[in-house]
Amino acid sequence: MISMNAGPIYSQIAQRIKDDIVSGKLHEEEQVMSTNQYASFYQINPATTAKGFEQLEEEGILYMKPGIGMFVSRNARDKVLAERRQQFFAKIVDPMIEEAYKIGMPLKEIIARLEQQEGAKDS
Amino acid sequence: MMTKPISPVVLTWQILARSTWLTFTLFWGVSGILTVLLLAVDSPGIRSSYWEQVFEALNIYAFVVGVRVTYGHLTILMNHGVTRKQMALATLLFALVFTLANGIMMGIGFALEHAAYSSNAWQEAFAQPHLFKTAVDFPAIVAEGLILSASTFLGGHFIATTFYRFGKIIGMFSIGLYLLISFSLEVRSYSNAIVTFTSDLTRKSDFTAAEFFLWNGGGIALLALLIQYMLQTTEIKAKTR
Amino acid sequence: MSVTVEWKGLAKSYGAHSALTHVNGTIAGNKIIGLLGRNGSGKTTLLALIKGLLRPTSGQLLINGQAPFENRALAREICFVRDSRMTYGSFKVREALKLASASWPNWDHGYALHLAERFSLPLEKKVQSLSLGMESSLNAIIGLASRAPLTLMDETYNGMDAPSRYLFYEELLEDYMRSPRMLVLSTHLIEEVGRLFEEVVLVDQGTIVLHETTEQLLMMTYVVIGTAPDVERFTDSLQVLHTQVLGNMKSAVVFGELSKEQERLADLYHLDIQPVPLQDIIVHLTSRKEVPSS
Repeated sequence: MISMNAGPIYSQIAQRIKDDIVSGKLHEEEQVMSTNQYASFYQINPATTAKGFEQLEEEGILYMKPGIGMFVSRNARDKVLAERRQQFFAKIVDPMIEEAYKIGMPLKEIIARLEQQEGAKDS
Repeated sequence: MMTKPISPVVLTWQILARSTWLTFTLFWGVSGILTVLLLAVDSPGIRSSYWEQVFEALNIYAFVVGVRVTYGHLTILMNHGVTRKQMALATLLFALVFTLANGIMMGIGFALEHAAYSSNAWQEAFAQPHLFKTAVDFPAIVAEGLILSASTFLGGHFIATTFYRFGKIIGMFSIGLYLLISFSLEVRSYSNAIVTFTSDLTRKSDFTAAEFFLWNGGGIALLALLIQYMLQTTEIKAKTR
Repeated sequence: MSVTVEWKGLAKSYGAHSALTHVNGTIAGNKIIGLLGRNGSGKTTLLALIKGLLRPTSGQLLINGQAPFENRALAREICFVRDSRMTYGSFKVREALKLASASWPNWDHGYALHLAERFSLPLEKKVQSLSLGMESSLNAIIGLASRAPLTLMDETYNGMDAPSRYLFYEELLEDYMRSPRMLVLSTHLIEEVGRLFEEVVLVDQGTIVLHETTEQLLMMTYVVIGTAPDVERFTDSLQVLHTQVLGNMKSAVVFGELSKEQERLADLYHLDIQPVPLQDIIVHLTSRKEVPSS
């Protein structure tokens, strides 16, 4: 859910829509709920939702069909995936390595684990 | 479902009438019943009018209604979009109808009592001097009832508004001022805690109708002006509880 | 009608007691605005001034360019609800709603009755005999159904149980989206209702100390956590609202937007940066004695 303890609400909304695009809950060229529907669903101010939409529009994830509403852009999923991939090392891998150093875990062990995972996925 | 809003003045009038009609009915009902009972008990020794006593009670009743205008209605009306001016205008209209109704009730009472006195051949007399000389002088009785209740209504309204506007200490002074206005007309003995200039003046044996209207009219106008001034500048207290 | 409320050096005192001083600023547009502050900070006085119940001692308060005191046109455009059981005399709930319907030009009686049913408000009961929670429900209903272009609600949740409060928030949001207007709510329950506010106005010790969009306020406040010397080095030239020390660790609530440079610095010092809940921001902004200088 949307939390008052997790920073700006509009970026949480934007994040949520991106999640839905990545997971396939929202398809490209599909209409998204209106700002009012979003506001109602999450019990937040519609202006806040609109700001989240605005951000996604700027990023080219959503686009406006005048008089109809907001739609998911044609290549929105690729864009979000590219962004997430870009952030992957900074947000997930680097902290992991840092933590490994802290607790004295050799990187070799992590690599072994990763290879094992890959093997398991392949089979 | 949309409803049409009512003019603030009409709305205020309705609210004032709504909170008064019950006490009005009770007051005149009880006064009537008491007079009939007293006449029935005291029939052999009747010397003067019983209904005349209702004037004293009416003074107190109208005073209380006057107090209630400010304390019972100001806050709720302001909260509902009525301005102080609109409330003052509505109160004036209400006072006209209320005091006229009181005058008419006095007139009807005297007429009925007169019928009873005539059929029983009782002696008809008044303990106090009045604008009217007989119990069937309906217009003069209505005028006296109207003016008497108007002066006490405004007296109550004046004192209550002063308390509301300026607080307890200056409020106490307003009682003094009110009594001063009353007694400056004529200092006489008084028996009630609430004595109006009118009820005192009526005890004066040789007043003329012109004197009566002049003094009372002046007193009423002065009170009305003071109330107006205070009401226009009064603030509604933030805490109601 | 869109509403603009403007304060210009507004002050209000009751005799020797000063309730408001140096109030400046503007709120404008169809928005839900939170009026926040501690008890006795001057919130109710500010609302009563907007409604025109009180007169400014000095300075100006203008609503669409006009002073509200004894203003006939504004009187029916501004609906102010607060605890007022005692002013209803012998009115029943039904009569109170009827009075409201006769008073507010945009009143929606069907909606009022619908709300009364949702709040389980007994229509035939006298207002005076309502419980505190029921009275708050009545006030909430009147405030919402009035559809007044400027609606002021002063702690319209007192005594309401949690389900009633959430019902109120839900209806408030729905009705605001149906009929956009300016709704100003004073509240202490920021955690519950904060997400509905587009803007917050913070009143402290008789003056407006902050007016910001809720989102901006959330963005410009953060907490840094790390070892004490690192946190101190990081916050050296920043406005710190609150600090806490645990062993050699320190956390500092910083007021001010986090720049890219600061983000880099935080990374360098191994500092953890976390958002701060709105409720905590308000508490930090109003609990200090004076504004710390940077």
